[in-house]
Amino acid sequence: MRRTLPILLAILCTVCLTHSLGASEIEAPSETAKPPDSTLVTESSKSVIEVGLRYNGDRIDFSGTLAETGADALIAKLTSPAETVKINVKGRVGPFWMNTRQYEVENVPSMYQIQASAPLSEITTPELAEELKLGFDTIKDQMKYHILKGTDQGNDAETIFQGLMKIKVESELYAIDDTGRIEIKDGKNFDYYFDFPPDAKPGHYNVEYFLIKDKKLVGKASDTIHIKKVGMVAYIAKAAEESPVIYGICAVLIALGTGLIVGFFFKDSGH
Amino acid sequence: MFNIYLPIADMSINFFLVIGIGGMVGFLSGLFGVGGGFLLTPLMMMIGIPPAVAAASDSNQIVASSASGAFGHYRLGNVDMKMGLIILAGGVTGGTVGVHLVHYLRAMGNFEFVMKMVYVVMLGTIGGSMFVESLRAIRKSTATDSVEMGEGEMNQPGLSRIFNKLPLQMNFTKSHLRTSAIFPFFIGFMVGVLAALLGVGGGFIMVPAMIYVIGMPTITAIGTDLFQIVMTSANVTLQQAITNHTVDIGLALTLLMGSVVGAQFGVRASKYLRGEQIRILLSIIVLAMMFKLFLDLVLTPDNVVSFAAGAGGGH
Repeated sequence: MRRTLPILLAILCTVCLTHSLGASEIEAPSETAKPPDSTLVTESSKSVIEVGLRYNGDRIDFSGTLAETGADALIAKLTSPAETVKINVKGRVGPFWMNTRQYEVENVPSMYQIQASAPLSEITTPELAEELKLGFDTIKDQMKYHILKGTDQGNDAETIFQGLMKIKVESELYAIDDTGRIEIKDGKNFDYYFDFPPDAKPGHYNVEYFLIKDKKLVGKASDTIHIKKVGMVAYIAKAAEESPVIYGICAVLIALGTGLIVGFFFKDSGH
Repeated sequence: MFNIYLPIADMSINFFLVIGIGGMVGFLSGLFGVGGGFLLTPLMMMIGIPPAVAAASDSNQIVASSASGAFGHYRLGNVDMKMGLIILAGGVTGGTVGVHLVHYLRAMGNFEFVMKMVYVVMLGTIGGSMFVESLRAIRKSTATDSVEMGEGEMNQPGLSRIFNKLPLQMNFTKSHLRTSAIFPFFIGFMVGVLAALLGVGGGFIMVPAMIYVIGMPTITAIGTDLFQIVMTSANVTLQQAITNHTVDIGLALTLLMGSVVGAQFGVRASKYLRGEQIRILLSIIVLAMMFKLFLDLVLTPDNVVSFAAGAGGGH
């Protein structure tokens, strides 16, 4: 009986997990990459990033030609749709640090990266940068804060913005590289790449290209990149969200089965 | 670098780092008769795993690491089933209450603070008293174990005499004692709440309570504790999956690989150490973790801003 218990548990785990996974069907996202503007032709190494068990961030290479625009600079901006997030702000209570305020912040892009062929201040005017929403300050201007718990300490908006920037920059979700990663060759061909860090969430990402000549916009185009969970990662995430009871039972049975099977293995191997 | 992506935590992490932490904690689990969650949860948080996911997933891996250790002790005849079932009844009740407490605290935004504060109080109290007691026992070390009793002798530690006056008195022949079922149920309930709140098995509370309050022999306390840990952690895992959706089976399975192997070596290592030696080693580890968590609560944080649980963009 003792020997058959782990085997029975292993069978139960398999049946349970199969049932749970069978209930989770992954829908392939529709790839609707927008055709580029006639003045700019771009290509990317791929348009879909798959988040599987071995995912640790990814890189997409882009290349293209400026055609006959006469542009002398190129800016590429990668953004995700703006979202609303809940933010906790810590304060000192006696000797301890704890969350004392909670805010809802609107219009925060999950990811925001810029690549430029030259420093933004050299190829754009402040007005153009604002119009194209280039730079972290444009994110700051869009953010709207609503306090949910606690009392505003007066400078909470700035504290939240700086704190958010720190989190996003450290996780490489926000980055501005205008030191020449985009290289324009022979006056018309270019190539560069975007790094998608491991924290980049599944969803649709927009890549916008701005062709600049004498600090003026002379053309633009865009591409769409998709990040989606696939395979076991997608199954587990969906099962946990949509079939939590079955998922929980599976988690327990797998743990019990694994523990007992290994126990038997050690006994049989004479350790 | 060999990374794996955790589906519920939504993050990529070094595979060998998780395996190594699991193996180390698994070894301690087998050695001390504790689930190891009190070390694992803070370690997981230190490498960036969200506290709620760390606690829930640790409960899941504790089921496996303790199942292996519990079976080892069962084979050696160290499990008092009658005592274990009474504690388990309390543990299941407490675990269910605790999971809903976690849900409430996450909504309030201070789950992490409460979690660390409870850790500091619990680990400080248990680790401190265990350290003092073990040091005293080692100093006046004699030929006989200060805790283990001879065959057939009924244990009567000071605190247990209070429970002799409570109703529901029962005989526990395996542990050579007669006591009320009320305290074992109560301590099981408390550990169940802590299992949900902290992601711990509760051995660091249960083992001292069984030895010093109930009066069980050290080795029977460890074996019985592992039995209740398996069942209580299984209940908490299920409840967390249903209520909070925070059980990351990918993380738990990776931890299992290290911990189940480590636990087997721990069980064997425990046979080469005396009761007070095991307890003083455990108390030092407990106090070190308590100190680390206390510093987290009082030192100025690098960033006062963080994403709230359940909100978009949080990692």
